[in-house]
Amino acid sequence: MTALLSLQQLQHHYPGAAPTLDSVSFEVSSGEIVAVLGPSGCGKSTLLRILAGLEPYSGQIVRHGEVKTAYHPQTDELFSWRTVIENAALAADIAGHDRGQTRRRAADLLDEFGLAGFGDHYPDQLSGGMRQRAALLRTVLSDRQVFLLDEPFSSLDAELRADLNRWLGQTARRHGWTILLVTHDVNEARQLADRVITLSARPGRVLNDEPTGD
Amino acid sequence: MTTSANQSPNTTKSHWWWLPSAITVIILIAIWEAAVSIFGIRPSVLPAPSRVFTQGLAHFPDLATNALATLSVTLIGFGASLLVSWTIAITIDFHPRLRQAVMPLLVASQTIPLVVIAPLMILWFGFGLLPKVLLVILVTFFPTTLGLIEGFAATPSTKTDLLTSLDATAWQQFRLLRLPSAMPSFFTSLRISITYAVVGTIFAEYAGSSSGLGVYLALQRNSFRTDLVLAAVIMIALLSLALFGLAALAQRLIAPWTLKLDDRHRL
Repeated sequence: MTALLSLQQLQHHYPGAAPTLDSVSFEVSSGEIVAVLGPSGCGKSTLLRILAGLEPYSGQIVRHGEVKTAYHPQTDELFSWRTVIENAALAADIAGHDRGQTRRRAADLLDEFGLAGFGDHYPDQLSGGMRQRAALLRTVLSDRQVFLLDEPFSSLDAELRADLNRWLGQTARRHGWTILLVTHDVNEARQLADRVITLSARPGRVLNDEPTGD
Repeated sequence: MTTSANQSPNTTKSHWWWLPSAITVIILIAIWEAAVSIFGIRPSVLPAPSRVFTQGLAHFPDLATNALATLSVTLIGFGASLLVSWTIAITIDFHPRLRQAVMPLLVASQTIPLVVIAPLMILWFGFGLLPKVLLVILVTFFPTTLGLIEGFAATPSTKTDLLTSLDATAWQQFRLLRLPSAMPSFFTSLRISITYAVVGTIFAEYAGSSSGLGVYLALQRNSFRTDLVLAAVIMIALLSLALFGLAALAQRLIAPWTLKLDDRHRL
């Protein structure tokens, strides 16, 4: 497996506050699902924001071969004025890619994302689970190599969350997606990831980095 | 896994929404008609609604001509006002520091009494279209400007972050996110300001003009034709209602997502 991202001695603190992250180092390889596990406030969301280019940091992030990340925030952040397909094509619209082609690709994936027949629906016509899948479709169609998922299903009830995690694991492995995911739920991390990185309480430090072994 | 969309079952209310207001109006008119005949009030003080109606009908061509003049000034003035408020709001959105510099001026402009500024406008710019358009701008630009500025500023930072992570330019942030985010607030302010627009036009015409309902009002009041004054008032109310409806229609066409799911396809 080739490394896509190498984090070296990453540090972060918000202005005038105690440090959030302390010397965080690890690698993410191609096709790997890595879960970052830690208590609330340990800086795991900040870690994703740093990798998404939203926070300043010290230390080093090596992006092997111009690797780009796709940020998937905690809430779905769907645009209510765009249909499911238009939301999914957001990144392509920003990058200036061919509109028709991206929309066709989105339409082709609707079935696999459990959104068949809902491509032209607006977000407020969807259930919570469908909104999360639509948001995920947007992340996938951003054509970036590493997906940064910030507790993607945390707003859903436990049963639906387990369903979606199972589905996400299967779909990700089928497509060979590389995912760095943040969660505070041990079971979720074990269920979904190939590797679990455990962070300490604030300031977040890597306590443990080991494969899940199944 | 659930795949059902949220559809509200309540769609029966749509056909009779106008009934309560119609009944209220009919009851008020009946009380007015009865009061005038019971107390024998002179028509120059308070004409019966039936008289207002028949006289209004008899003078309809005159009323309509003046209403048309008022309507065209209102639309031109309001169009210019929208241009002004969009320009100010977009400029402030791209240069937030200007907000503190410009806002006190905008607020101050709203404290000038119309009775003072209207005659001055006529004095400075004559009886043409310009002073009337300026007055309509002055009366209406503030709510829409404020609605737009606050609408742009109300864009959720989480959505801005999402676009930033996708390397969106400032212009893309505006076009794809801030502009649509401002629509609910903009259309609320639009409905407020478009009703002010008619009042602003009438005031400008009242202060000095050659045509329009404002002139007509002044003329009829001076000849004690209270019935025709009231007929003109009804005309003004109808104009305002029509423009309000136009604003609602624009919202439905331009930004249907700002409406509740139920209301989206209702007319």
